Amino acid sequence: MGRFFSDPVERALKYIYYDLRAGRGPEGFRLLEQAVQDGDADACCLLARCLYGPEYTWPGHNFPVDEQAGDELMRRSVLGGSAIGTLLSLRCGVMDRQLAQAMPLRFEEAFDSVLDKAEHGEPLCQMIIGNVYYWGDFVEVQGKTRADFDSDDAVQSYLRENYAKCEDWLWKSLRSGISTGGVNLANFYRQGKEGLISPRPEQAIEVYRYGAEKGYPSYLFYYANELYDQGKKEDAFTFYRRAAELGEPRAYFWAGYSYELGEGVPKDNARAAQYYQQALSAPIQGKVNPSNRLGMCYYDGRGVEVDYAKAFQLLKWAEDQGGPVMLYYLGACYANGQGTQQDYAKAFTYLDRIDWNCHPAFYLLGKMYCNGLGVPVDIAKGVEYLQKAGDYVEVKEELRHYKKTLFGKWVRR
Amino acid sequence: MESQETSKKHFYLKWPWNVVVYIVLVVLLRIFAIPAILAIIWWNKKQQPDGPEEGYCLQRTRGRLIGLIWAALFLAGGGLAIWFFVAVQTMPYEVEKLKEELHFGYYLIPVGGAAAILIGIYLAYRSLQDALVPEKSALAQSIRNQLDYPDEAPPVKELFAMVDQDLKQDGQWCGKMGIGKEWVLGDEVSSIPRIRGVFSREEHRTRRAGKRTQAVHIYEVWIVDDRQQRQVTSLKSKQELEEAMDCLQRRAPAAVFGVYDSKAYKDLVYTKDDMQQYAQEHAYQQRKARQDEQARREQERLAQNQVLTLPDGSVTSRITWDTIHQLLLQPAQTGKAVPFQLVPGVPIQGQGHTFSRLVGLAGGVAKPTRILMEEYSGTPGVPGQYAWTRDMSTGETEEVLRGWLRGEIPSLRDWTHMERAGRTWQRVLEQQKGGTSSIPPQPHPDWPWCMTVGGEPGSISDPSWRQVETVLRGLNQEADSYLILEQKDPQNPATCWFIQCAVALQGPDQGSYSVEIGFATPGGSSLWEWMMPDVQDAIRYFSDAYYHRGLDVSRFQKMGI
Repeated sequence: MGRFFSDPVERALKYIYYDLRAGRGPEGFRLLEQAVQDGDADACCLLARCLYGPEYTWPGHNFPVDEQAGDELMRRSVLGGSAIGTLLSLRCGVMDRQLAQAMPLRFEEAFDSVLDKAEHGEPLCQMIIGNVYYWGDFVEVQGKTRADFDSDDAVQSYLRENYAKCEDWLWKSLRSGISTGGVNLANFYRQGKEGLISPRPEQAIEVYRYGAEKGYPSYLFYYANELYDQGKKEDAFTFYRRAAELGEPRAYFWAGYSYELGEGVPKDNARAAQYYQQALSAPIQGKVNPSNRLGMCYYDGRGVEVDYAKAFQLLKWAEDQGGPVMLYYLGACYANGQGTQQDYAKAFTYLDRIDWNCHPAFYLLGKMYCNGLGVPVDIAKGVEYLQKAGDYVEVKEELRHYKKTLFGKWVRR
Repeated sequence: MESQETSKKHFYLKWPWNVVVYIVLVVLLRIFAIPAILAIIWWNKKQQPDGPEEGYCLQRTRGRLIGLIWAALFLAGGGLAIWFFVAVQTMPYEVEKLKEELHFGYYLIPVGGAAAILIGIYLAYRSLQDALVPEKSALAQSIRNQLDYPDEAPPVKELFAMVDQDLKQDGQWCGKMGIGKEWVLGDEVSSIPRIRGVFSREEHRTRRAGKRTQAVHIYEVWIVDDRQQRQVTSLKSKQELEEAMDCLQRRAPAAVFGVYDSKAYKDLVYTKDDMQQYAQEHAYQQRKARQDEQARREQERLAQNQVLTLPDGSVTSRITWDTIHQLLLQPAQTGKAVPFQLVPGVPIQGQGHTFSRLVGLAGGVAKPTRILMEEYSGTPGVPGQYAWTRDMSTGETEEVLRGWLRGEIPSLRDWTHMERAGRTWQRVLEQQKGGTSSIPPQPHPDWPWCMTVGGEPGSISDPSWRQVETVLRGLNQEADSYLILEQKDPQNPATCWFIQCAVALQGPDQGSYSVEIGFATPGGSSLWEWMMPDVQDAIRYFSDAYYHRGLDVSRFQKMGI
């Protein structure tokens, strides 16, 4: 038996929350599964959190998501008398009247039990206590109603006093080594509590900076975001890369981007492409940017071998997902029949939207207008595009096919 | 449809009749013959749009006859000087006066005259030799010099044919300089693999004579070969010079490019030291290896023109034979059939059809592999209506796939013609089998074109697009106003493809352009039609057919014939 929980649960906590750099999350998950089978109520609650999604643990663990199974485990945890399960059940929507009547622990008892562990230094419990204050669950835990207060001011005062307690507990949890504790702390500073506590966004950055200094992967990412927003791109990229090296999946794209641009690091297209690929395989939401960047890498053969089929698939997927449209690349794929069937009409719909100085696109448009590919023949317009397409061999070659008559009309030679 | 086989030959003044006509014109019209001669030269050139029929080299050597003009000038000048010298001898007073005034120069008059006559004779000899005896021409000698073993050079006819063929296939002309893939034809001939340096010379000299200022512009390309021999070609303008340098840079990218008389030029031409020459050649070989590698990569990039969809749904256009081989062997290892798909970027033409997709179901060793080739619908992204399928052994599959990856379609004998039926395929009904499919096939990429115009006798072989367009624009509502653009299988003239156009004379579509596509084989023929209100639409369809740009045939209706 461990100091606060059973041995397997304490080891699982270490792997899943306290020592992310070890990369032993899956091992922790298996330990919890085993403990659940052995009837450990705390393990049920912790495994449920794993199944609720990466925001409850860490995206880098790549745990499966199954909310229904999570709810079931959470109920088992409450019914099994787990104090942390009882408190956490307030946050995940499983607590109903039936469960409340059947649970062996009252909220207050559960709170006291968790508080005791928190006071003795257990980081997860510190975070749970902090979250009870942060989310306002203390009202239910303490069984307070409006009738317990003389006036609205007394209510306000009670709420302000208790909400504010989250700050101390969440800092403690962060300092003790549970990085997820700082998420709500930063939110607390950023948003405050409406009508009760004013926001202090500068303190939120301080939370991220502290987490980053401690080497928490997700905080390296959050802090990099802050630096990026402040325009300190080179510093931001350094933190993104550190985060990515520690397995923070949300930083993969940015780390790859920094290698592609050579921002603060020697250019390395192969590494950039590798990070983009990792970002695409990671359990994160925003994948259109890595998809577009990797698509361009495949098209140009930067860091990977040229593969038009893959390039087109990635670029089109990003467009279909509502991401930024890579007009030249998609236009070129359609115009040249690269990675998809040649379709000049479609190519034109992309290339015609280009409103910057894109020489290769002007070359394609010039060719299409001159030869009536996807558009009606308009040699004058085609030549105009070709003349804007730069001093390239193929452009000169194409231009040689046309000449201006004495009357100023462009015709095919 | 019937077309007359006789192809219309362009008439032009052949050698030596053109020279005879020029001489007659000069005799009759003197100086006024010049515009007439220039007009005949222009017309002769226009009548031979694919280049001179006699060949570029022979035309160039025969063109040296122009040297006779210079020879005549020298001869006339020399003769005049001697005649003057002899004539003046009969006037002693004048002789004395001239001796006084000219001193030694007086005695130079007959010497200069004799020298001019000798030069004239030499120039005339060279011109006539070049024009009449091509074997001994300077151009032939120049080609021989470029060969590895000049003494064992083939007859001049073969030498000229070698250069002509290259220029006809891949030649680009910058003024009088023709640049092919193997040869450069200028004032002399250079073999491109031998070129080690190309230098441009652009000089402008002004000379003042009294009040007149005369400007001389020199535009020359100096080519230095691996034997340090130089071939010089004079061009007319800066534009020609720039174009020639650009083109040579593309054709001989590993050579040194620069300006005449520069350090690079002198290093290349005047280096006598063996070590330095070796270093230069080594540097050239290194540059060439780099260029070849780049070209290989570019070729590899261009070869990625198909999308392979693997059984797991992933796609790639890096299709190697190993990948295909693994796919075909996979069923033997897993016991399950393996589906895959190949989609070319540009539909593949062959066997009278155009195909846009190949679907395979590899069966391994125990079961045959099923291949289905889908015909192109005519519109990108729209599924084809017809397909051809066949079960075959792994060996046959390999052969078909290898061909498909090269853009070749196997013989469709023993294949089953299928028709789309909802989401699946069914065998094409027997009555449709006799003819061809209900959408017209695409024109064949390799069969030659010939054009028949209503109201004109015979057909025109290999018409230019401009000729086709001009006839189309001239179509009107008359019974004999029509245009047929046709191609026949050179191996089997009974098989032909054509597109024809006429203006509807009556009916609801009166005044519209009726465009018909026909395909005839010994087994039967089919005709499809579409009425177009505007001649521009008809021109677009003919242009797509002429340039093999993938004819949109989706709106053509099959007609009973």
